[in-house]
Amino acid sequence: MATITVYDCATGEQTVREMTEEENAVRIEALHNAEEETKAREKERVDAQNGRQKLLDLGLSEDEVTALVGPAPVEPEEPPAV
Amino acid sequence: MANQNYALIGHAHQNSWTSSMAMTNLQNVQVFNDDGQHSATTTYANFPGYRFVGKIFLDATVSQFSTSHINFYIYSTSNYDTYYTYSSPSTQVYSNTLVQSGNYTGGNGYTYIPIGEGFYPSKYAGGGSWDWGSDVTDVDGNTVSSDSPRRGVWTNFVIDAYFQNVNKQSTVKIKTAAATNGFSTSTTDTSESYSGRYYHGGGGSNNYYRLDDVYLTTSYNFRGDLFCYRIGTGNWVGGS
Repeated sequence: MATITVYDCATGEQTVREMTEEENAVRIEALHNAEEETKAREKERVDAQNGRQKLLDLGLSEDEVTALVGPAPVEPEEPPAV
Repeated sequence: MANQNYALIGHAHQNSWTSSMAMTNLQNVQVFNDDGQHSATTTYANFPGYRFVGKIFLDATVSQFSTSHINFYIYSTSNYDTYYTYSSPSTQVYSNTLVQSGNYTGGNGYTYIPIGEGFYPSKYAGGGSWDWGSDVTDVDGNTVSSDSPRRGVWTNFVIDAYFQNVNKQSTVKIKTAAATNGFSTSTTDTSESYSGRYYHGGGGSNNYYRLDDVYLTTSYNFRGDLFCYRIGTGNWVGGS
């Protein structure tokens, strides 16, 4: 089980213990949700990029496409490879 | 001590690995005024805000690190807020990038905010070492080994939470920053490539608000410090 450091502001005491099942379930659920949201955002970015490219393929200029749909989506920056 | 509007009510210091850090009983703290005798309960009328300040060192390498694996929780026994978060990671100055699309309605329980996009893994070699190639000597003459945590990357953050009514300030505001001087394993100089991340975001407002506990959780081990301040409307000082 994952550990958690708990500081009780009412008593000023700090303890380190294993997470309760509820705490760990919440933690895991949030991790799962965050991963899903990350995937969803990436899909939105790719869809926007693809849509933009289709407009460009129709003959519109970059400025015209930007005027219509806004600036090109920014690709997230990954940490450098090691 | 001069009057000030920020009262420190808690400091969690964790120097061994843990995977989560929490501050509890945020509603059950008393703050003393200048004479040290009278106290004020930290009601939202007197203390409408919280500030959480921290720095953490993640036991993760660049290749192991995922930005979706770091979350900041709020636990409420009354109501928490509905919010979206916007962020401007990397070098984008102005952003309307919706980072979190979740919509959290009020009620008892947990809510969370993914904040990992502004955090950096503290190690950069895939084998679990952030080996900088050789030992160096610090300003006090101490030898700092190539894999010392002192040469890893720490992420600093500030998270503010405000009690607000609808259509006022956002309830939660987040700022993070992490930077490193380089990712090369072969040099110890200070002129190589550098890298960093920051994040700012926040949002939401609610007529009902209660913040009981907060959690910082990850999929990794980490260590570090977490401070909690109450943001007061008057000249309250100190903490219990």
